[in-house]
Amino acid sequence: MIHDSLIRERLVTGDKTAADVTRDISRPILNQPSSAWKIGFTLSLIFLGIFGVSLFWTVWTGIGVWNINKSVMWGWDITNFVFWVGIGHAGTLISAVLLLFRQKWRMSINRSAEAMTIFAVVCAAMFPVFHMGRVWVGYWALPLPNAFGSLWVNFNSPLLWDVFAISTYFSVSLLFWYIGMIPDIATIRDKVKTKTAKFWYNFFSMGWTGSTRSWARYELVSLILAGISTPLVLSVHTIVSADFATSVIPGWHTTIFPPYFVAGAIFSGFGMVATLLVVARKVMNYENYITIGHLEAMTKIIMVTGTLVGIAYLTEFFIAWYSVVEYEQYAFINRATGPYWWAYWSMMSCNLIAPQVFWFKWARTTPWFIFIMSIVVNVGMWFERFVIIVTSLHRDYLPSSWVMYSGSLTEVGLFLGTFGIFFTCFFLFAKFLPVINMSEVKTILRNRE
Amino acid sequence: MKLRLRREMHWIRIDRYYSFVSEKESMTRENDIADADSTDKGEYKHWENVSVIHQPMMCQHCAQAPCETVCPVLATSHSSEGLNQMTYNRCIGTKYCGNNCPYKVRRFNWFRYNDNDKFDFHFNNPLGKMVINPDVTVRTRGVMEKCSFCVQRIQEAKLKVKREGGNMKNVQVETACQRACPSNAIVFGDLHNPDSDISKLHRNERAFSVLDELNVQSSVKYMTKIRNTETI
Amino acid sequence: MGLVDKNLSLRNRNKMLIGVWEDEDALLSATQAVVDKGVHIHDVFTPYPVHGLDRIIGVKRSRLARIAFFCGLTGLSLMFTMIWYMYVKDWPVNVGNKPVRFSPSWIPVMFEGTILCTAFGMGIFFFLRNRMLHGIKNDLLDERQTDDRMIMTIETCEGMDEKGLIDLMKEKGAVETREFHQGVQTVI
Repeated sequence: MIHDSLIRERLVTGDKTAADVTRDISRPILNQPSSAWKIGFTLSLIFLGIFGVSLFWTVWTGIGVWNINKSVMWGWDITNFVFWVGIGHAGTLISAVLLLFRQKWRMSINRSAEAMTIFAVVCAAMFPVFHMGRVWVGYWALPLPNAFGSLWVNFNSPLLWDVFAISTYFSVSLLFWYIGMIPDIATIRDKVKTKTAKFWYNFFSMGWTGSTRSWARYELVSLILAGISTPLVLSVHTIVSADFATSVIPGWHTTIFPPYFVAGAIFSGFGMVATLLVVARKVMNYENYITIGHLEAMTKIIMVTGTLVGIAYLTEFFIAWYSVVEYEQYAFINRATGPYWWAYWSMMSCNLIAPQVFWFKWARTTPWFIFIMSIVVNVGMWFERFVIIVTSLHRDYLPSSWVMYSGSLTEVGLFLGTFGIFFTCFFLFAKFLPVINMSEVKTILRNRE
Repeated sequence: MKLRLRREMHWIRIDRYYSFVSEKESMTRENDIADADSTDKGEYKHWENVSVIHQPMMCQHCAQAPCETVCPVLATSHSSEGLNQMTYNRCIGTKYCGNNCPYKVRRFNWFRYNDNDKFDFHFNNPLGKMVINPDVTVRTRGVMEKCSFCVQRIQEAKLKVKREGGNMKNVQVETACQRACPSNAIVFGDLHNPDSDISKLHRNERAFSVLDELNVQSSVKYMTKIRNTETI
Repeated sequence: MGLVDKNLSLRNRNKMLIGVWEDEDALLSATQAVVDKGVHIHDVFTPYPVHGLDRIIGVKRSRLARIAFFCGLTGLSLMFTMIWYMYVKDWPVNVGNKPVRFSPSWIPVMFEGTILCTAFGMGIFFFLRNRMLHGIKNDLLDERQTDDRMIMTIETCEGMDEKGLIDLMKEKGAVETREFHQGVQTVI
């Protein structure tokens, strides 16, 4: 009835028992932080400082400190927004879609991927909020009755859809992450010794005891949350793509955007997960939990989605030619051969060509190489958004408005600063919460059929 | 400084389009100039017969305005008179309308320009302020602005009719650009009234809309220039 | 039937028999054996979800799925009403000559609202039903029940063969057996 599978490779190596899992994964929480953690955390705080300074400068002086101009009114800000939102898609995708497909390899990585999602969405949300000229009245984008008579909001605007999509995505992801973490917080609660720690873990574990009844509901809720998160993930990036697709600007006004953006989001999200996990498994000694098999599975997804994105790039070109719309054709020729050709070809080589190395087994199973490739993927995806936003805007319909654009120091500072937000959150997460889903990993210690 | 960053604030700009008659045919496409330049090796023999077309470009007050649909807070909407109106004090500054404008006529207030020591130009003292049009709101930092078809003048005319009686049909509202144009090249009027000058001009076969193919249904029409180019 | 699952509280109960296991398969066969003797198992506490256990001890299928569905419907109609009220009823505004009636541009907001209501509605019912509140005092029987130990509890009643059950548990691989009465545990 129940026996070890002879065919499949083990998902967790090193003959771990349930007690070993608890011990290994709660070790960073129960012990003093390592020096690697301290160095990393300090670095993150420095970047957080850069963010604070850049943000203060922007809000204090005005959006004019950025280099955006009369034609290119979105520059690094929205590029960074789409970049971070894209990264924020892998977490829920790993948890939700792979749960629906019963892919058990997700279990070692879903917790950190979901955490990554939440932190990335926080970073992403910074940009649409602070790119507003008058951020102090930004709450007007919410459907609230206001002091000037109840002027409501515009339900035709993709930016309003964004408000709903991003906030829903953030809160549902947080709920999914938190509910999934409750049993593990309970485990930590029963391990910690200090009074403060006991109080807080007890507070957040919500009296979890591991009753069969609770587990039955927990599993059902996880399944339903996965079921509704899957269309949610797809809808969020579809709506982000609608920010461009519903406009009239050549290069933006494209029906391929929703699937293309979703594929790109998965691509960049897995890139970021790979970046984090290759480092984390080494530094935190989780090689038995996040095995080469896990990395290999991720690289396969990176390769597939990278190729999908690449096909989308080529399809755009084909459709531009096939449409016989002069503006559309010019927009795409200008992307590839115009003044921003370097951005376009960085995007092409990083996103379409580079991931093809994952056809080779060596590339899929060598952690340092995967690390480099994951960085390449994210550089490429940043350029993709830059290409879409800037090259479409800088030369659109009327040549009299054609301009060039390059980011100012403040814009670069804000972008680097969001890495500060992201990694500060991530380091705190790695210190205070279990980065691997202990209770789920305990179910796959033996390879069951 | 602002100009170098391409942040000119004009509500109306004059676009210039050049056409050349080269040996082959008239050159209208972007690359034609560069191609001609590279072939004539500095002799400028292609550069004869340069003709310039001026096109004043301001907000076209599109009936199906792309800028209106994308504003999340309804800061720009359509009036019953067909104006595309910008509500400064509702604007939160997402700049999406500016991006989505095919004519690129929307302008953003990048900094606080009024009462700003770094942006003086003698406008910050009581005397200097008297130069500023008292009928137009001073825009705050971080809002979008654009040509309003001199809505303050339309409003003034409407109030006058209300006060003194009469019919709007008989009132001629002049926009600032119209008044400033010495050759009467700009005509403004009521399109709802089929007998107005503007309606007649709109029906003229020389009238065309810029970027008509986008079907934004702009309220502004231009008259094609007729030139006798054939030499006898 | 109340909203909160009363089975989850261990207070004000008769004497309980407790068996402790460290192996999932042994636990499964033990629960099966106990149930086969016609004894009602109060609950089994495990550090991770053991599949099949809920069926053996007779946990009813949760109704949270139906609740989620109704929360979703509520969300959908709520969002539709909201948009209709704001956009059509209260203050219709002409934006780009778009029709002031239902149009596909309503769908994204309606969809997101549906998901939000489903997730949080279900979440709230999940926490309520599971007797989960922030900072609630948990009835823990063993420090390691969230680590690697699995604990079976049987509530005793008149005429129950306690001795026989303890022996059965031991025979089926229980590493420890205990008695729990009024908050005190004794190893037997």
